[in-house]
Amino acid sequence: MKHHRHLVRAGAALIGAALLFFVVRALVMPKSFGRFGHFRGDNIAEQAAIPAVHGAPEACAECHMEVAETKVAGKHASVPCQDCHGPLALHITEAGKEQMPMHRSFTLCARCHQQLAARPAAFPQIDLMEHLDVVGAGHDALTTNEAICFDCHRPHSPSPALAPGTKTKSR
Amino acid sequence: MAGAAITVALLRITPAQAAEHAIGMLPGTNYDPEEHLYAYVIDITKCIGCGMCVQACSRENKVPDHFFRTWVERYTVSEQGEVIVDSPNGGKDGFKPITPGFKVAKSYFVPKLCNHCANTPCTQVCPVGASYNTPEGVVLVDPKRCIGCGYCVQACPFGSRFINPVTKTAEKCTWCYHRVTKGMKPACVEACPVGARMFGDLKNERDPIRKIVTEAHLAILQPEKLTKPRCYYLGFDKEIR
Ligand code: HEC
Ligand code: HEC
Ligand code: HEC
Repeated sequence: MKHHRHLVRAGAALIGAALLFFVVRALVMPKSFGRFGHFRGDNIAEQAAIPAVHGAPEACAECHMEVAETKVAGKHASVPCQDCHGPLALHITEAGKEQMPMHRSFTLCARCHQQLAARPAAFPQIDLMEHLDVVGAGHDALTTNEAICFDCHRPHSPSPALAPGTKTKSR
Repeated sequence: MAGAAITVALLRITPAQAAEHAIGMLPGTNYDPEEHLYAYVIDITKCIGCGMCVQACSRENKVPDHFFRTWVERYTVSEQGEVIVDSPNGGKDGFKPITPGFKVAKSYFVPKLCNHCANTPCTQVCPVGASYNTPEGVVLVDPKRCIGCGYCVQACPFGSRFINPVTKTAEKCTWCYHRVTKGMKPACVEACPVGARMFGDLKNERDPIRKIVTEAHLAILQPEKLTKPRCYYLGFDKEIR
C-alpha cells in the first residue's frame, strides 16, 4: 500500500527536473535563438547593419566628375578609384572631410604593372628598370625619384605617355 | 495545472517549431534574405595578382595584420611538374618576381576566400550555434555567441577561418554581408581592376552570374570533401589545392 508513495515522489522529482530544465533553458537562451534555425536570429540584422567602409564605385564621381570622366575615357577605366587612393570612409568622416592618400610612387604602379610570369601574358606589364632605360629616364630614377612614373603617365589616364617634364595636372 | 501551462509556454520556443518563421525584411531596409541566393566566380585567367582585393578586404572588415579573410596564392610550375606556391602577406602588398630555381612552364594566381559551402562542416561542429548558413547561402559567425573554441577553424578544409586575436572569436569572410544587404558588391569584387572576381544573385534573372554558373565550365576546390562550395573557378588547373 505505502509502496506507491515512492512512485509519486519519483514522479514529482522528474516533473520538477523537467520544469527546472525548461526554466533555465528559457533564461539562458537568447530570445531570438532558434527563430530561423539553430542560431541567434537577431544576428542576421546585426551583421547587415555594420556600416560599409568602401563606397559604391559610383560614389567618387558625385564630387569628382572631371577625374571620373577622364578615367572612364582612358586606359584606367576599369581601375577603381579606391584601389589607388583609399576607402571612402577615410575621406568622408563624421568629423568632416579628410585628405585622401595620394600614392605618388612607382610602387603603386608596380603592384599592377611589374612584369611577372604569373600575370596573364596579354596584360600590359614592364620590367621597371628596363622600361625606364628604354624611355630614356634611366633606371637610376627608381632610387632618386619615387614619383618617376608620373613624369610621363597621368594616373587617371596613363596612355598615351606625355613627354617628360610636361606640366600637367594629374588628371 | 499551472505547472503544465508553464511547461507548454516554455516549449513554444523550441527551435524545431520556430525555424519555420519567415525572416521577412531586415529592420529598416527593404531587403528580404529569402529573395536572394548568392554565388561567387573567380576567373584565374584574368587575375594579375595585384592584391588590391586583399587590401580592400582587410580595410573593409578591419582584419588584423597577418590574418586573412581572402588571400591570393601564386602557383609556379616547372616542366617536370614541381609546384611552388607562395603568398607573401596573403598577397596584400602585391607580388614581386621570384626565382624558383627551375625553368617555369606555367604560372598563375589563385584568389581564395571562404567557399560558403552549402554542406559545410564548420557550422556543424559549432557547439553553441554561433555559426550558421543564411537563406542567401552565406556562412556567418555570431561574435556574441562564439566562445572561440576553434573547432570550426579546424573543421574547414580550406583554411578560411581564424580566431581573431583581439576579440578571441572565430572570424571569416562574410561575402561582405553588410555591403550586399545594402545593394553593393563585396569589397574584394569592387576592388578588382580586371574583373577576375564576380559576385551575384542566382535568384535575379538579369544577373550575369546566372549565365556563368549555369553555362560555363566551372570547377570547385576539393570536390572530394563534398562540402558543396558556392565559390566557383574559371580556368582551374590540376595543381590547385
Ligand atoms: C591608378 C591609380 C589611380 C586611380 C585609379 C585613381 N587615382 Fe586619383 N590620383 C592618383 C594619384 C597617384 C594621384 C596624385 C597624382 C599627382 O599628384 O600628380 C591622384 C590624384 C587625384 C586627385 C587630386 C589631383 C587632381 O587630379 O585633382 C583627385 C581629386 C583624384 N585623384 C581623384 C580620383 C578619382 C575620383 C578617381 C576615380 C574616378 C581616381 N582618382 C582614380 C592615382 C589614381
Ligand atoms: C590596380 C591596378 C593598377 C594600378 C595600380 C595601375 N594600373 Fe595601369 N592599368 C591597369 C589596368 C587594368 C589597365 C588596362 C589594361 C588593359 O587594357 O588590358 C592599365 C593600363 C595602363 C596603361 C596602358 C597600357 C596599354 O594598354 O598600353 C599604362 C601606360 C598604365 N596602366 C600605367 C600605369 C601607371 C603609370 C600606374 C601608376 C600610377 C598604373 N598604371 C597603376 C591597372 C593598374
Ligand atoms: C620618360 C617617360 C616615361 C616614364 C618616366 C615612364 N614611362 Fe611608361 N611609357 C612611356 C612610353 C612612351 C610608353 C609607350 C606607350 C604609351 O604611350 O603608353 C610607355 C608605356 C608604359 C606601359 C605600357 C606598356 C605596354 O606593354 O603596353 C606601362 C605599363 C608603363 N609605361 C608603366 C610605367 C611605369 C610603372 C613607370 C614608372 C616606373 C613608367 N611607365 C615610367 C614613357 C614613360
